[in-house]
Amino acid sequence: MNQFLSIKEQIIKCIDDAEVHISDPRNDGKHLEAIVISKQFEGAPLIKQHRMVMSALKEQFKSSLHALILKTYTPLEWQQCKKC
Amino acid sequence: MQEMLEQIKEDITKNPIILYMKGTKEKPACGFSVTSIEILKHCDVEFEVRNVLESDALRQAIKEFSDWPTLPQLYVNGEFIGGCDLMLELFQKGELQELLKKV
Repeated sequence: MNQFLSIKEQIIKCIDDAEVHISDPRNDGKHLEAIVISKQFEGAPLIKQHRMVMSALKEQFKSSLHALILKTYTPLEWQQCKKC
Repeated sequence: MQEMLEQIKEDITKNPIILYMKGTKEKPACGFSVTSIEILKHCDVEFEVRNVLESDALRQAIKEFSDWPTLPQLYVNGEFIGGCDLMLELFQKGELQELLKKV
């Protein structure tokens, strides 16, 4: 859980309005999944949204993090997604 | 490293669709690489792959070149498109197919 917290904190440090949800479906601490919601994603192509998150986690990828399946949403997209 | 970076530059220029992955087309070696291969096969396009498990130097260099920490990585027309999760999302939206038509 400490790892989740540090990943969350790191993302919020770089994307200050981010809402972050992290899971570890394989239970190995290395292959994580993250959902990140931020107004700063509005108007940005998906690749840019993903780069914003990935570059926040550079140090984590140098140490324990091996893979991250990322889903990014604007607040509106997230609201619509939750309804589905 | 420099030599590898030059090689990558050449490869993505010469090959319109190229996937840097773990394993081969026939035997992908990780779940995300399997998914990426399946997506490209589904798009019915010719594509090249590079197996980063063959060379640690390549594995490090492609991450440096793309400024992207994970594999697989897809390049189309010399442009970095993303990893498996991005490929899947773009494919589901129909955007990947559109992109690949422009090759």
